[in-house]
Amino acid sequence: MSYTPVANVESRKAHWLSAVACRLDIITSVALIVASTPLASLLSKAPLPVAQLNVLDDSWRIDIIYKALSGVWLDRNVIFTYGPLYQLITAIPARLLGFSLKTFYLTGVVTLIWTTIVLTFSTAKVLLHSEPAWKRALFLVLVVGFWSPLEVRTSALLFFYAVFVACVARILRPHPGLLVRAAACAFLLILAFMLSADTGFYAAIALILILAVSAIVDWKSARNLIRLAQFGLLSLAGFALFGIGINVAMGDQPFGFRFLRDAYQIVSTYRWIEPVSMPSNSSRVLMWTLAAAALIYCTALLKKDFRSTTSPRWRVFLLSSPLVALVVLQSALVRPGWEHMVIGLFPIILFSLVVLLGTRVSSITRTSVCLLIAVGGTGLITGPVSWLRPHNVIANYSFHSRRESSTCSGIYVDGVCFDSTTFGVRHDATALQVTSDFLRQTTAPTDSVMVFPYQNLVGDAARRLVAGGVLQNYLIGGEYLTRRQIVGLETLRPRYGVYFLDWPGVYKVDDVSSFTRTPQVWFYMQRHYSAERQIAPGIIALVRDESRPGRIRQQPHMLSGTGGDFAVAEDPQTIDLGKISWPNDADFLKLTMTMHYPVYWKLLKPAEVIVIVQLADGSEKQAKVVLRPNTSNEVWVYPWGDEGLGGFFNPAPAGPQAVLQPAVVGIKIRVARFDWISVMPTRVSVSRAEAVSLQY
Amino acid sequence: MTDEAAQRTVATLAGLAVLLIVCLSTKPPWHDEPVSNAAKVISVLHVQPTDRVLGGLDEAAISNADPVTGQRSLAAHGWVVSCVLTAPVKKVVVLVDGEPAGDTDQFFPRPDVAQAYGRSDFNNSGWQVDTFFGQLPSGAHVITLTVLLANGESVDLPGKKAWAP
Repeated sequence: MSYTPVANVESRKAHWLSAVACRLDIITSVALIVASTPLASLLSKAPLPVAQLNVLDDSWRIDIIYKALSGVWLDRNVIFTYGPLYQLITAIPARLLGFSLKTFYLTGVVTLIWTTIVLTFSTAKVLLHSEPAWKRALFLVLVVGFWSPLEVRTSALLFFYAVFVACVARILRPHPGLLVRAAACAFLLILAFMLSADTGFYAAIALILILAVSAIVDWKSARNLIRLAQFGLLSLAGFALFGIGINVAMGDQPFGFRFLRDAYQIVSTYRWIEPVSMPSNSSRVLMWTLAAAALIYCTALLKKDFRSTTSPRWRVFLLSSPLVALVVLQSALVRPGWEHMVIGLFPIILFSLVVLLGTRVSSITRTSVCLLIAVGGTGLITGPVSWLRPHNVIANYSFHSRRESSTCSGIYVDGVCFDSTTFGVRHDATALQVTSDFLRQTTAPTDSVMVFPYQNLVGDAARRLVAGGVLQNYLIGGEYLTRRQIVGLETLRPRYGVYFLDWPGVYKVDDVSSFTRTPQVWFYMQRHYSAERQIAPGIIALVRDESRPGRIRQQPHMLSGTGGDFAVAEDPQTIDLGKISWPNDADFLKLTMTMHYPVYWKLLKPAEVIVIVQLADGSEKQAKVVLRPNTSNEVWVYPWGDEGLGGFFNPAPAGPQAVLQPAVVGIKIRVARFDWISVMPTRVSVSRAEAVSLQY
Repeated sequence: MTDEAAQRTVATLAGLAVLLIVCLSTKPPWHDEPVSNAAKVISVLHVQPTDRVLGGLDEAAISNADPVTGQRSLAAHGWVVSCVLTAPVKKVVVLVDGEPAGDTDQFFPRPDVAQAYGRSDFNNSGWQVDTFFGQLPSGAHVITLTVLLANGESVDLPGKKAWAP
């Protein structure tokens, strides 16, 4: 062979092309990160125009960042669905650029996109490790650009699952490293709990399912069964050891495992404090997606993929992944609104894409058909996410065409200009502006504040720490979380607070009054704080008043003849507790009741319960309530308009009942299934009905 | 064609297909809730020839009195549309016991109203008033509306009873 310059150039070109082809997955990841980065906005000093304001979700998203910068950590100081790892990740931009609402609205989504890209790339590396890089690149674009929800939990869970599969498959081969792999899995399990409570439990279930499936597949091999058992035990021991480290880091007793107990409380209450009915479009999409996934999996199982020639990793993946996807779907079935359904269905969609792209066969026909299904199906069903659309990518780097205006024609708060014409956004932005201004003016930077029920971002915008043991009150279900919230408030005893009444235009979580959802926290607030003034319509400024606990007491009056045990035979069913004699000075209705459900409610969700209060003027109030199944619950209902609850904070000794409201004349309880996944109770027991007055 | 070349061709085609979808797809992203076909209007309400203004008050609430000023706040929302072709709604005034308590000239979309009447021009009919107003004794009060049209005409609409705690 003779040397020629042309051949050399050709050879170099081929070398470069080959290098690019081998790293196409990494190049695609970087390209996606670059495409999603709003560089022009990051360099701009102008107020950031924001068109949306979701007070409920933005409150927790912003508050955990502000708390991280203030040294207040989830799991250690405050309970929330998410954990300190998630808090750490989302707080990175604020650490680098400084905390402000502008930083959050500019970088909050970008942080999630970047993390999702990295996690999905890692998942592809593990599950599609024997495929060419272009397939992983394609997988990455399809998953991140079309299907992945904008939240890190599920992407992280799927990455953890992929590593578990790889580790378990590896130990079935004659390889050393059992201990290392068990330690790696244990470490990832701890990371899962540090990310969020549900990710932790789902990851633990995923590992158990992988081990169980592997044991069933290899049940004839005593050696493999022993290795699987050893692996399981070593992982458990590793988890305990890492857990002790976490306990110490969290300021807990070495063997306290409070982070696990808190995670269990959050996960176990979710099923009964936040169920909602399934909209028809969620139901339809659920069925179609599961049917399509079943078809893909059945085809893969019937083809060569499951023969002994396939790798253990692929075999374990094919059998365990649909089970894991069905388990993760649980969260979406409890709360099947579209935004949750998208999250719940994501694992089965991602796994189906892995099956389609991971055929591991050289047949070009089969590869082409699988690609056609994956790409064509994606294109037919959905469009790309908004940040990947060409005009948005161009806008991220349009330095000159950007409107550089230092003025804000909308509502300006902390670097952000809420310039929406939508009434709800303007209303909420105005409330945010006036309330944060109030907190900034009346409190010192070192003071903490109390916010009820969930609008924490008003404290963050004012740079004041929002006190409490549970991040937002709607998460509180049961005695444990109630106690933690009150202990958190008592620890800091904030001098000032703000109370957002259930007011027209203010979002009530699942239409449950914030008083009825967390009555004990409301009573704590009412006993320790009095109204200073109304900051804005429906927003009351509270100031701590230590004289109130000694002055205010509850006076119960039994409502005779209203209790009983009622069988539930119909759906829906209305139980009439009968006519009652309501005392003139009574303020609240308190029912002590138990909903008796069959044991399988824990796999489904309870029914909707509404307390109907009939008033003497012929009107009635329908109060939706949340009840822990098979446990005695205290249900508190304010029989009149919830906006009247603000009167109980008056500093003057007179209560709000200066003028008598129409008396309660009857009580009914309506029970109905939310949807086809919801379970009706078999019995409703009302052990006590009381009219309670607050006496000053 | 060698197997490797065929794989390369398939990979290129798949990449191009994805690129085309990203650039040309007009479909909404998966995360956006699809509009349900089930929401089609079955029966459409009709505007009567004698109608001047349609709509009213959906919900109203009066807060407790401010401990310092004694003022109360009022929140009311609903929808209004003008049936006079040349005179759109200019302002909605909310009255408590016949006395003006607040008004608004800002309107927001109410697709349910537009759908119910089969009239897209009824879409921007939502209104809300959220305001402080004067002192008011506790008890029941009547909240009504006065709708001012662009031609100067004013139309009173019946309201609801609200309780001042």
